[in-house]
Amino acid sequence: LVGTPSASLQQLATVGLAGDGRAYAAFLEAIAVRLRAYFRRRLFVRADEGEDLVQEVLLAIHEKRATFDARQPVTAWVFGIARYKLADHFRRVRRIGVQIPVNDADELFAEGDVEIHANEADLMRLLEQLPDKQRRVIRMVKIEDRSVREAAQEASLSESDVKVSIHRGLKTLSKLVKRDSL
Amino acid sequence: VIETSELIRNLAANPRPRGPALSAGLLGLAGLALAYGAVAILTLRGLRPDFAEAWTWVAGKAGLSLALGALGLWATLRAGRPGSSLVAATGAWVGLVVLSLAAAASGAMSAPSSERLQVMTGGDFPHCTVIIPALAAPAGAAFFLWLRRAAPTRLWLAGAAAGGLAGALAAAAYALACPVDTVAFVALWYPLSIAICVALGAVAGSAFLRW
Repeated sequence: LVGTPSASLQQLATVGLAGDGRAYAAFLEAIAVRLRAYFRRRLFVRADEGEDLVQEVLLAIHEKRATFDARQPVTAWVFGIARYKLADHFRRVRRIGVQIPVNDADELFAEGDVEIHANEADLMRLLEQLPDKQRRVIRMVKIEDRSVREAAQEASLSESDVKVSIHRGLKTLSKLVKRDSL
Repeated sequence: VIETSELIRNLAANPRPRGPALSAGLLGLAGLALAYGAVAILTLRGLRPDFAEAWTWVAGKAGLSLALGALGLWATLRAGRPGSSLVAATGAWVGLVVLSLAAAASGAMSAPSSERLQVMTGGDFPHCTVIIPALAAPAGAAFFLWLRRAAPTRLWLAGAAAGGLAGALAAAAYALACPVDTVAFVALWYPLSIAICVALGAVAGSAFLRW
């Protein structure tokens, strides 16, 4: 189970780049999870390109790690590099008309806030313990991989309501998984 | 095909960045660029003969240039760091240039109309618009090398910042030789000469700063 809020991502980066290999590895892992989800959600890459791009961005982060300033938000730093590498990738493959949002750091880091690793059967069982609304939107967006907008329409909720419900539900789930594994 | 987890394991073997801190490197380069500019201008043009009487003018010209240079240093440093905004640095730079141009205009207006052209041009073609960019070129190249080691993500903006830094340091050095002493001249042509370096840097940046 990994539940890494952005605040500790800053710590992992700071401690890691000061020479702590384990913290640095954890930082890169967390970034990889977020990039993967971001590329998939954004739909501007094919599935097979996705992992290559994740690796390319990780390599760029590593090569340019001297440019990290612990006083600046690590999220903006990572997004700056990811966006540059993505634009570079699209220029190389000559795919025209792909728009990368200029300021998407929030998008890159928002929903990745809570990531849960548990086996599927456990997850389904724990999901039953959530309030009805949270369970429904999590099932639609996180398991059936549908968009937030679709989920909002189907559940007759606003999109931000869906996002909040997912976030709260995942937090609760993450606590349940933790308690379960103790 | 290498697994991402394996890649991360390999990368994590060297967590600490190598080499000296980037900001210290840029600061050192800026010092070298200033020294190079002074030596070059003293060798090629020589110190102005009336330096003893006119040193306050030299100091004023160098001061204006170094103020723009400090903002250029700040902007270049930020341009090399992904996710750092350049809005404040750019705004301060533009603000200072506008103030300087306003001072030049007021200096020109306060002169009698028959002498206005004379105080604005120094009675000749403003040589600094050519000498300052030429003097700045090698320093600009050095700042570009620094930027390539850093991680500029908006290339033309990074090039503009490095060009502005190199131009400002060259202008500070040129002040040692520059013979024209009117506010209308200095506050007009010094910022314009540096702005030429900014424009050249922006063009060169989008061509040479890719990584």
